[in-house]
Amino acid sequence: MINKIFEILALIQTNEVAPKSLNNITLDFGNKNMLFAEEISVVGIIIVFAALGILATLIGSIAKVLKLIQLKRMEKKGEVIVSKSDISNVTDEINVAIALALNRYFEEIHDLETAILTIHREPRPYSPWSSKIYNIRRHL
Amino acid sequence: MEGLMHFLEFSGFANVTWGHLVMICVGIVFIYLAISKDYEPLLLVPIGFGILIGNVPFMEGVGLQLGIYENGSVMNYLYFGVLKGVYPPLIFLGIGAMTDFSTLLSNPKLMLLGAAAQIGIFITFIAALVLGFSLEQSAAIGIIGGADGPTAIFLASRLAPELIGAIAIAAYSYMALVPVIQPPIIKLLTSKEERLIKMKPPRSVTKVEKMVFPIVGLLLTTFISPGALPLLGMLFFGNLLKESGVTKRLADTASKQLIDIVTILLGVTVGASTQATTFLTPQSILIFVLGAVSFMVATAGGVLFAKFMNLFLKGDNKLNPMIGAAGVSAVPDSARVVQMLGLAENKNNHLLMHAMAPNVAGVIGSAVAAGILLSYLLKISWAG
Repeated sequence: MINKIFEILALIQTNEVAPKSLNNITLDFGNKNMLFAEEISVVGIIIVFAALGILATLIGSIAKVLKLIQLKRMEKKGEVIVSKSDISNVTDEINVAIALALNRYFEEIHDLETAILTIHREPRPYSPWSSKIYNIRRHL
Repeated sequence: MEGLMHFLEFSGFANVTWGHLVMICVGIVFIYLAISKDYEPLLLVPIGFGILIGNVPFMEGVGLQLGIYENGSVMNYLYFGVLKGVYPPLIFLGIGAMTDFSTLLSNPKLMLLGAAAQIGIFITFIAALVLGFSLEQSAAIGIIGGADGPTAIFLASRLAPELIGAIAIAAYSYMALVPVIQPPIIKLLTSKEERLIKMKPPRSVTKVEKMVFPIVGLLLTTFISPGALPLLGMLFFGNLLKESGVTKRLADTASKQLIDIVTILLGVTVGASTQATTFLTPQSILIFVLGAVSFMVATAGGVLFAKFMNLFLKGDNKLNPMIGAAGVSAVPDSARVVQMLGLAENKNNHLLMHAMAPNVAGVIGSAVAAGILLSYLLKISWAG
């Protein structure tokens, strides 16, 4: 393994610079660094998949755990747990009725607002920056 | 009279070259595309105008300190943020504060599409090496396939600063050209039946899930690929600012004023870095060609992997393979392209929310890929 690293380092030290002219470009499939690049590419794509795959699994698991905790809390409180199968046969008409009812309810909430109106006076200390005299035109 | 001649020697007319004129035309085309065709105007207008600024000819090397590559010039100071990779993490902070990861959280397996699209990065890395670029330069060119401008600039600033202008321009150009590049590839790789697949609506995501994601995401991805820390650290930090609900002011600043300021500075300086005397080289043309290849391979990789996943999925869990194309992280353009293609096949098939999941996963995936390339190549250079 160490020998391999030294080999790679030696290859990098003798690294060729990029082509200066399009006329000089030749396809170099036997590039000295090719082996190393292939290794990076294979390892790289595996790591990207692993990172996002593990993240997806972890996030999925966290969602399940959170759901379980929520269900247990609801059970403790004695709340009704609605399963997916219970709501799968709800018709569109029922959905529309629920949406309409909610909409009306939230619109009507506005009328229940407290009717107490107050005027909050902002203190206006004098400052030459906000002085009225500088903000009006004076016609002499 | 002698004084007038002396003045004329310093004028742009006396110092203009064909290269300057070509680049000025390119700048005008960018501005035209942005204003007339509405192709990524927030990026192309600053970059296009930056190209004009960078290609006004002047006498170099006489201490005028005007050019972006002249030490002490104003443009050089602003360019520092690009060269040292300061701007990309700040852009990521804003992106994080703007991004809603809900669709990704509701269907986490779509993250794999964001990983699959990164294949373009690694294939172009090898292709650039075959064409004679160095390892570091090849890695910086390959990252164009991530379709993520800030990530491309970040990696190029670390591995191949001499190519940063060409790489940034290529990355942003292809991001703007997503609506042109992606549809033919998607249509070529999918059948009509596949394009008509309707996916089930995403489930609702709780607030706790949204808050846990940036913390878990940061720790996991950066423990695996620490090289991506500046980008992913800021991305997830920005997202926590948004989702925590208690830092609304900070989230607003990061997602509006801050990202706007940095986008202006980044766009103008990247544009100005295309000074004809240093930019107009055969290398730049090669980088553009490789960038296009990278982008196409990335799109194809995402679509094909979605088809592969469908082999294991049943019923309404099946994916519309078009959303795989959104795995390239050009947010939100590639998701928008998928939405448009979906609507073209069936007016009631809205794929935008589904496509946003691989789209934002692509941002994470390309940053992780950049971190891997950085760790590999910087470690070797450092050891050398």
